Amino acid sequence: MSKFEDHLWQEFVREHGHNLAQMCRSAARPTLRPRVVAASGLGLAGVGVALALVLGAATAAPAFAVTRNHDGTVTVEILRSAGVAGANAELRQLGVRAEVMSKAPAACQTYAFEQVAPTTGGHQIANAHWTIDPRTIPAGRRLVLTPASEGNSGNSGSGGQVYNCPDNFPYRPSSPPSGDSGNGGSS
Amino acid sequence: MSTLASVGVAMRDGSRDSVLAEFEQVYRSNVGGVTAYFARRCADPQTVADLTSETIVRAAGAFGSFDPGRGAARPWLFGIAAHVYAQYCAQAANGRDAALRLAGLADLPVDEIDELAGKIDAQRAGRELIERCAQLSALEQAAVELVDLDGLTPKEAAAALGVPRGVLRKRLSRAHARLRKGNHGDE
Repeated sequence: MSKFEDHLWQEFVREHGHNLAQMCRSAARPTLRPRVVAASGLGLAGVGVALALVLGAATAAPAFAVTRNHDGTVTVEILRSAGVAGANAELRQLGVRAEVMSKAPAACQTYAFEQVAPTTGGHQIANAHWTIDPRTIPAGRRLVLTPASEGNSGNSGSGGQVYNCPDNFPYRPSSPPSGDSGNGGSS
Repeated sequence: MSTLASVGVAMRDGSRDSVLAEFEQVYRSNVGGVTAYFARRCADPQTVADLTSETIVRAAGAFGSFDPGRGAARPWLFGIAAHVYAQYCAQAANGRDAALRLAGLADLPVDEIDELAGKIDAQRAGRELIERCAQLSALEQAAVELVDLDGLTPKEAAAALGVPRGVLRKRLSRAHARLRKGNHGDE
């Protein structure tokens, strides 16, 4: 192997060897996927690591991305509305009590949340992203992330909305609108 | 690189050493190919390093759910690399790559930058082939690259791209025919 490849392996073992150890201690296969995948020491340090995106082919556009940032926050990006369901599935997988919805249930309240930086616009959930800190979500509560509503600028003044909702609220699974497969597949 | 990745890996026992050793085999067998994949796409050695590193970290995070019975490690890794690159492009389009590059430049030693610059130069023919593929569909481009440049079998390329084998073979054949036609047209 080249120097770079050797160096990368050493860095990887130092930074992430324990993740593999945790993986093998878990008996059940579905739980083997680590909750957090930290970025490598060789780069991407300021960006965090995206944990999922929907993609059909190598050059297709992703529909969503859920990113665990280095400071513990999580960034949810919806690039196309078809990515909502996948993003919500990934949030569940990560154990983050948050959900992207087109409209918050009536039982929810607008959330004054310092770490939230919504930058959405319009009523379609597309080209929208939110950054939340899962550690600050109160017990028994769940965040609902929605696009901006007219006349309401959101917590950070940039147009999105985050709602504080009961965790046991009967949430409906988000489904992509018809006519958009959500996987960005191309041929 | 050896053909170990084609054999696949399995978690035979729960020891850390075993999982690390198995992942190391996957790494050593494929990291050169992954680096070349990014070297064909990026002129900046640091970016090549970052994207390679990111791919390896993500592969480790998903290693628990990797099932060698469903396919070899090599196409699995290239599938991850394709996702990483697509997300990198999306971030770059949003202007978020600036932070990534600034974060990484200080970390890579000069000799490794030189080494990666050499790899980028070595991929010139690959880049030219990709440029000639611009007339093809995204799937055809990816198929040509994975089979003709990365050395995957059509079956492995189909797995990496998430398409049926028959579709891949048909598209690959059509792509080759169009490329040959283009060559004759140039002469």
